[in-house]
Amino acid sequence: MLKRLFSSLMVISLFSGLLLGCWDRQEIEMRMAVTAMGIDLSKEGYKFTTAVPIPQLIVGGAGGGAGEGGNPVEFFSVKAKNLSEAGYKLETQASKVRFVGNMQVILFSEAVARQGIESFLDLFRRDPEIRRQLWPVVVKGTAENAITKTVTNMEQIPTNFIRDMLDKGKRVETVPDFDLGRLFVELSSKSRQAPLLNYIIAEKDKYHWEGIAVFKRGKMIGLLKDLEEINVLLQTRFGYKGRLVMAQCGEDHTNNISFLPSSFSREIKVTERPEIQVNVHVKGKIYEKNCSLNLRDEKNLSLIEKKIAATYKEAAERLVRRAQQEWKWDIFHFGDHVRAYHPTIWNRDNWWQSFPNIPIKIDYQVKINRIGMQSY
Amino acid sequence: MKNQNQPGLSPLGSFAFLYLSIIGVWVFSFPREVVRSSSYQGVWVILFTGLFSLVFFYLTTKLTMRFPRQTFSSYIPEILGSKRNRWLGRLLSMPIFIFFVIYFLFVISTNIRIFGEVLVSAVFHNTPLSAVIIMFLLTAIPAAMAEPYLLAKVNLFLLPFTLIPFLILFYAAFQRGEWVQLLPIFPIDWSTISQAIITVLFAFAGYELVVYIAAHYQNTDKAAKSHCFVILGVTFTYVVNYLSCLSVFGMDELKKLMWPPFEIAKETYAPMLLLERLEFALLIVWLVNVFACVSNFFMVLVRMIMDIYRFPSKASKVVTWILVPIIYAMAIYPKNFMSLMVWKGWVTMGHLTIIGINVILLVIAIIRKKKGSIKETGVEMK
Repeated sequence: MLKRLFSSLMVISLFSGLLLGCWDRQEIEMRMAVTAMGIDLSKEGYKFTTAVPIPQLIVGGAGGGAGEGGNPVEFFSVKAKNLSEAGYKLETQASKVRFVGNMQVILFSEAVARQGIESFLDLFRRDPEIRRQLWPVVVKGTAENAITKTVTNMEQIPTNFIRDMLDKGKRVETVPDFDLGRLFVELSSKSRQAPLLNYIIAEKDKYHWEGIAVFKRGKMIGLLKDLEEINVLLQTRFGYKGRLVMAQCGEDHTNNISFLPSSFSREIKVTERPEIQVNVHVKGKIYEKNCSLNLRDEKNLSLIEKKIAATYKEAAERLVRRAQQEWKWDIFHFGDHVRAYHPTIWNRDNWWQSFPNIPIKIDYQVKINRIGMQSY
Repeated sequence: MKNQNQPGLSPLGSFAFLYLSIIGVWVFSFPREVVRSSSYQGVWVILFTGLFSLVFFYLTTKLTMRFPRQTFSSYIPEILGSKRNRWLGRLLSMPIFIFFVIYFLFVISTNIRIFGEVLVSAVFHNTPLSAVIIMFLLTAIPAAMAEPYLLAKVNLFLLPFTLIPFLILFYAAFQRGEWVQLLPIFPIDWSTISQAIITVLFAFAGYELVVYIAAHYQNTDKAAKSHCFVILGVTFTYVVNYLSCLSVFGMDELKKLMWPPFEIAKETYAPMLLLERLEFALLIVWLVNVFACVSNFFMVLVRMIMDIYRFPSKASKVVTWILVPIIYAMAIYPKNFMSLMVWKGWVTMGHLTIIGINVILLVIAIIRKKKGSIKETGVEMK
């Protein structure tokens, strides 16, 4: 009996030894976690810059790591033709095994973005370590400078600042939620093909969200900076509530009413021709008012509602004009809607060719739920 | 006929056994296969395949219900042979048994191999495939030697854990899914659907095990109901799996993904950062799934061989150990993933052939008025 127990114990321990998967054992001290990667153009092809935090120099509390004057992040730069060569060259500079599973941000310089980013995506897809949740962003100037030159005071690892900023923006619905996974889906889907990456400017001690880089397939074709236009794009394409909108309420430019949307619905109608009609309903509250308009008066309230709707509509018209005339590209995902709800039209027309000539109307209806106190 | 005191499988036990035998490893690649073969018509394809399987499962159940407490290795000779020449039935049923053995070997080895591929391509990049396969086989051995009703109990124990992926899939679809990606599902394209059903059918293979396990039911009369629930459950699992993957990825992206449910977990933000990466939670649960499927098939294979040669029950260990190297060799044989997919086609063909054989046997049994009863054959249960 005892012998039997002993032998079965031996077998179990042998099995569990195999279960550990020793071939893939990796000491946590022996690996370096890449948190960010920047891609620039160079003569040989591309220049890749990676940021690797040094755990010993990152202080959580009152410890004196920063006092020693060391930069808590180490940078590696290599010139290479593609990502795998870059990875290989990186190994020759580092004392530890590179680990990309913690990578948070990929920065493309604007030049790379305008040349096309599709060639990098293959390796990102193949490597199962790469997170689909990481943020691909476009930076003004070179990505190398954006990674190495900026020292943020709020975050010890500068590129985590970008991640936190975008995560926050996503939560409050002010920046497009466009991570790597969405980029893959966008470029795969035949009816989408219009990625919107966040465009960021690096300053000396912080990063600055500048707007949205508009892409045609893998190539950047424009930059959207106007906040009102971004509002319209976020609403019609992503169904976000959008940001603050202002309408003038006195003679002076300083007398404004700010409207904060709280709920939002949209409805897209497509006719046989095709024509596109978007009806947007926005409900919200008055956030700030610095004019003496009496909003308890029903007439004044509907006047303000109309003014805000007009502000929206004007921006929408500007944006549609830019998309149809400047970029000639469906950045609104109307094509996707047509594919899903009107497959006959989608199969009949070549959407990308006919898009610039399709009449698009975006109408806004604004309702103010709460006017707040009369304080002026 | 109704004897509740027999130690045997309850309806719930048989549900767990058959459900886990069907699900197996296929969930990993299922959404991709569906989309590849049927583009947006996938929901219909899954539902119709479910209906198709339901019909044939019902017919197979009818067959087993005619011979309560008898396994197929004893009733097939009875159907084909006559009372005077018993050897004739045995001779005629031999090709069928050989076919069953080959088919079971194929199912087991493809399951193990595909799971090995999942592990090596997604988690253990440096671990040799053979190590994963050997490990998996070794863990399946004790299960293969076990008594059928004990293994069914194990299945019943494992069943609740396999519901965890549902939570993750629902959560992912809720978080990142879009309605637009699911459409258009009309108009229904019948020619695409009928072709796609053949390619998707592989995912419903596994209920053939009923021809063995039905002999160990407490009560064969109640089997039809729990069998219906098996197919309903499987169809529901696949529909949820398919729809959540499609709503997150859309058709074109889904075609490019190796293991879509795995990617979906990667795409999802874990709630409250409980687990930074959800995919491993999913993987662990599916390990359980595949283990149950493989050990069920393995156990039935061992028992079947023992029944055919009328080995004593002690021999199960020997038979199991003889089969291990064969399964290992078959699992390691396909050169790459492409040839593995060809094997999967063979599994589908085997499945179709076996349900065909079952239906033919049922027809013959009805025509020849062959029927078993407990008194005549004696109780096989121990």
